[in-house]
Formats: sequence, structure tokens, C-alpha cells
Amino acid sequence: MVCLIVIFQGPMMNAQFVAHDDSLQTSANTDLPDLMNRLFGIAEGKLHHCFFSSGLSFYGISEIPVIQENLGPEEVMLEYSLTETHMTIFIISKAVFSIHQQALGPEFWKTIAAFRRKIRLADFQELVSLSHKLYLVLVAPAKQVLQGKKHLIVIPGKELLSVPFEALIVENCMLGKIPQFNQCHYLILDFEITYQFSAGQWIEARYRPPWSAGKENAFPEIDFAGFSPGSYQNPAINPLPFAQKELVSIAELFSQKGLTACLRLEACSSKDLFKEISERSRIIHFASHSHFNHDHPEFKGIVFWEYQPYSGILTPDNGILSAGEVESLAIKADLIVLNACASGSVSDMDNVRVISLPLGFVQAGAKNVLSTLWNVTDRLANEIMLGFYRKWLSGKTFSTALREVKLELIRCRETALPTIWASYMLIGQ
Amino acid sequence: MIQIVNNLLNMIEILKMAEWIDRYNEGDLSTIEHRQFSEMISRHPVLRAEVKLDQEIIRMIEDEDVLELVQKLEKIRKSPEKSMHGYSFLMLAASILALTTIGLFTLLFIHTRDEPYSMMARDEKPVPARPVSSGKTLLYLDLSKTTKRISPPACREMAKNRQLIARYQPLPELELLIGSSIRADAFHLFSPKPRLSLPGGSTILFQWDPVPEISNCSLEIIDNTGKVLSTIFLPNGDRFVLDTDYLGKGLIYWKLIMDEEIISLGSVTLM
Repeated sequence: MVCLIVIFQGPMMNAQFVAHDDSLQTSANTDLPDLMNRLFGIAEGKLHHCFFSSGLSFYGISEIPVIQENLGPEEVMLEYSLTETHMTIFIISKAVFSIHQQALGPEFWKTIAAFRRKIRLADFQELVSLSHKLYLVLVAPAKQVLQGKKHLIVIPGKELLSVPFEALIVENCMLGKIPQFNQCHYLILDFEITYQFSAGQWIEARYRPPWSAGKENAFPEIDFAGFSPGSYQNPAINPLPFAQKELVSIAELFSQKGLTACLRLEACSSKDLFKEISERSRIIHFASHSHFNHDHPEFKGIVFWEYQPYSGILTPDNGILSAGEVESLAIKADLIVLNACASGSVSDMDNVRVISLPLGFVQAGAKNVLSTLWNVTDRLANEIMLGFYRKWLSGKTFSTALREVKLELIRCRETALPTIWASYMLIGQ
Repeated sequence: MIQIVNNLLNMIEILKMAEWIDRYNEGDLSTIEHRQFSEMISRHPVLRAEVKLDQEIIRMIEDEDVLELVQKLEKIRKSPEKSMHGYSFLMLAASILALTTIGLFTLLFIHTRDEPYSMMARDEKPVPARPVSSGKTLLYLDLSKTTKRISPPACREMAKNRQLIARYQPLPELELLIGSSIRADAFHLFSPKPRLSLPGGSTILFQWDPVPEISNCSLEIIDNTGKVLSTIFLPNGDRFVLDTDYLGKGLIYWKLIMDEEIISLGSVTLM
């Protein structure tokens, strides 16, 4: 296995290079383009393409100092670029930029597939060992840079977008026949973890003007806008008794803090009404069903009241809010919560484009999107979100609030299974 | 009266310690508990002997030869080392028997209910469940308080009961996933109820709303340790009948899986 680690410290042109490959040993202060050429054996002009054309990321080498400038002292960014045979990890902190490359065999892809399957299906067999194996490949190479850091910004790339890094296990926790999931050393115990689609989007979101900077809609009129069509009154939609309770309880929490909340339940939970208030809301929360269409992934989305399942060809008026539709909106929200099944899953349109509802919201202007990687139960989805808002309203950031809720779940054996808590991922700041 | 209360308190203490010994020998203690208990064992020779005795009983239970089992039990009972702790063996046996009875009744009570799991009240905070065990205090076992001997056949019976009970132990990791609908517009399952109690060998009807887009649907049957017993690929249609003949008695869980996602999860207690 070829393993390369390149560490750049301080100004980029005074790079310090550490190679774990004899053929690439070089001295300090190597010229960067020359180093890259030797490292990857490609012409200088193709460097950007080679490094950052994973389909999601669009920044260049020259922007790494900008990223470093924006990173906090306790933050580390890990960007992954995978091909079938190789993985490159870009490890960026305020002071260090390093590149780790290693060969990938079929075993890696099998591990990824098995881990994804087992975690979403609550399958105990080998879940711990698979999770630990992935930790060793995906995170352990950055161990040195991660020392003393508290926040991981993960840019997983298309292939790893459905891997919950929080649930990666740092040390094995098999005690007896059944894994003690409440005793495992998950990565989330050490770090607050957020995700990004690309470093470029992360930077862009940092410089996005706050609410007060605009001429129109200077402040959000609504602090919390909640949508839930699931009830016993619409035969087209399977009832979700906890979804409406969830919104009502959250609205109460907001009103206790003197914040405005606007709930759109039942027939009021229409797509048109959502579009009407989407530009004026600070937090938009969906507690609904997800719709999946394997033949037409472009129609995957969140279900509204008008939803008519299995009515033939889907049209824009089918009551489903799809990623494509979201992209065209102008959203200024600080947070979008997609509390539905697998709302953060990614579908491949072709080898270039991906379809993802969170990506659509980010491109529409949302600063943070909280979504799920696999199916969630109505009851637990309600409980987790209530815990999240309670913590956020007590002054925590979105990522801290989510992490603390997950840690609480991990502490109890009944809720410690990663299937329950690792589904939720926060994309954003 | 005071004597009765004292005896009762002693019995409770012994029952608790027997539970700790069982959990220790079956590897069910958490890291912290394991450490605490190991320290206790190293400090108390009487407890150490009890733990060892329990280990030997477990080992023997796995042995199928009944005569050999009786002989081995007799040998242990008569051995000089063990004879020092004859009373303790008696108390351990008594406590296991009492535990077995209490546990059996509790489990039967829990698993004959059909209503959804009530651990998480609808309007309560999340994360009910038992607290972290780090603060748990271990109790001391006073082995001098036993008064009766117990015969090997009775011990064997207890062991059988314990094995039976183990098959009905719920798997905490899955309990909260039972019965709640999911937030995906998959299909709607009419039958069975999320928690069922049936005589062993019964059939279970799985029936759902027929939908045209159903694909890659399977039913996974797992035991109460999380081990997958079988995976059945479901045919197109709107129903499937599961024959439980091959499953034996105990608590099983079923997962309905569509396109690599759980769409429903339930449990069946086969009596």
C-alpha cells in the first residue's frame, strides 16, 4: 500500500514534505508545483483538476491559505477525494496543511458498504469492527493534526456522504457477546462534527451577509416555521402522530423565549405556503415523510399536504418538494431541519451530478441543514429534535446542541445503538 | 418480627450479589462495573469462590450428560475447598431460584402485553432508560447466613430455568425501535401488531397496503442477542405468512426491510 503524507506548514511555498514512499523522499522547502507534479505525476496545469474535481469541491490550492485563515484554532478540515483505487485526504488546520494518499482495495469498498448497511439496519454483527476499521482508514491518518482540536469539518465527497463519521469507533468496545454500544469510544466523544459539500461553499457561507445587511427583509419575520402534513385526515399520507406534537412542542419552547413561531399543519402544510414564507424565516423545520422514487431520483423529496402517491408520472405539483425545486428558491434561513426519513441521502444522477436535498438548500442559501442519513422512527425523531432545540435555545450552537443530544443518547443502553442517533447529520457552519 | 425483617434484608442482599455474579460470568457487566467487581473479587476470597463455583455450574450446564452433571455437582459439593463454602453454594442456588421465579413472572407479564412499548411516554423528554452504571454501588455478600443445602437435581432445574429465562430477555438496543411508524412514505403495515405473544410454532401474518413501487423487500428474523436467524425475501403481493416452527421458544425480533432501510420492526414472544 502506498501511503503519502505531505505536510505544508505556514506559507505554502515553504512547504515541509514528509513522504512515506521512498521514491518521493524530498527535502524541506520544496517548490509546491514541482512537489505536486512529482507526487501525482501530472502536469502543473491539471493539479486543480486532479485534487479538487471530486464533483463537489471547487476550490484550488491557492485558496488553502484562505481556508486556514477562516479556520478557528480548534478546527480541522478533512476533505476526502476517492477514486476506485485511491483515497486522498486533505487535512487542513490553521497551521498545518497535509495530504495523505493511500491505495484502496476492494476490501475498503466492501467495508464501507457493509458498515452503511449494518448501521442503518440495526444489525449488530460486526458493526463495531467495521466501524473501527473505517476509523483507521478515514480518520487515523489525521490523528497527529487532530490532537488538541475540538471541531471536525468533514467534506466527505460523494462516496462518503452517507458515512456518519460520528459513529466511527476509535477503540474496539466488544465486551461479551453483545457489543456494549454505550461503552464505545465514538469519534463524536472527541469532536464536534459538521459536514460540508465543499470548502468553497464553507468559505462562501462564512462571508454571506447576515440578516441585518440586506435592504429588504432585514430581519426574519419568523424565528421558527414548522411544516407537518402527516395526520389521520389525509388518506394519502400515512399518519405521523409525533410529527405534529414535535412542532407544537418546539413552538412552545420558542414562545417561552419570546421568539415567533409559525406552524403550518395539515392542509396548511402546502408547498405554496412554504415558498411564501421561506425567505422570511430564520429556522424552517419539516416534520414529514420523505418520498423516494428509484426510477426518478430527481423527484425525491419532502412530502406536503397535496401529495398523491403512486399517481403515475410525477409533476411539479405533486406535493413533493424536490432538490431541484429548492435550488431555485432564495432562502436566507440559518437552519433547515429535514426531520424525515433519509432526507440527507444522496442519489447519483449520472457520474457527475448528485441529487441531495440538503445540497439544494445549501445552494439556495441556507447556512445549515440538519438532515437524516437513513430511516427514522416518528417517536424518536420527535424526541431527538426536542432535545436539540432545548439545547440550542439555551445558547448552544447548532453543532454543539446536536452533539450534546447524541451524547445523551449514547449514555443509555436503550438508545446507544448508532442506528438511533447517528442518522442525524449537520451540514453547515 | 425483627428476625424476619433481618432475614428478608439478607435475602435481598444475596439476590443482588447473585445477579452481579451472573452478569460477571456472562460478560454482561460494563467496563466500570467489571473493574469494580473484579476488585471486590480480588479482595474477598469467599466471593471469589462463589464466582468460581458459578463458572463451574455454567460450564456443567452446557454438558448434555445428566449423570455426569450430577456426579460433577456432587464432586464439587464434596471437595474440601468447596465444603468450606457449602452454605454459600446453597445460598447462591436459592438466590438464583428466587431470581428465576421473579424474572419469569416479570418477563411473561411484559411480553404478553400487546400495546406499544410504554417506556417513553409521548410527552416526556427523550432518553428514558437506565442511568450510567458508574455510580452504582456494589453490595457485599455475607456467605455465613445460609442455612440449607440444595440437591444437585434442583440445581440442574434452576440452571434450565435460567437458560429459559435468557431466551426471553429483551434486547434493550432494539426495544425503542419497536412499533413506531417511520417517516418515509413506504408502505403501511397492517399486521402483525408490533408486540405479540404466541404459542411456539404459530404462524404470523404479515400484511401491508399493496403498493406498486415495492421492491427488494425482505423479512429478517433475529434472536434476542441480535443474531440473525434467517432472512426471507418477500414476494410481490400484500401478505406473507411466517411459520415459527423452526424458531423454538423465546423472544424474537423481526425487521421488515425495503431497499436497505428498516420500514418496520417488531417482536414476538413464542411461549
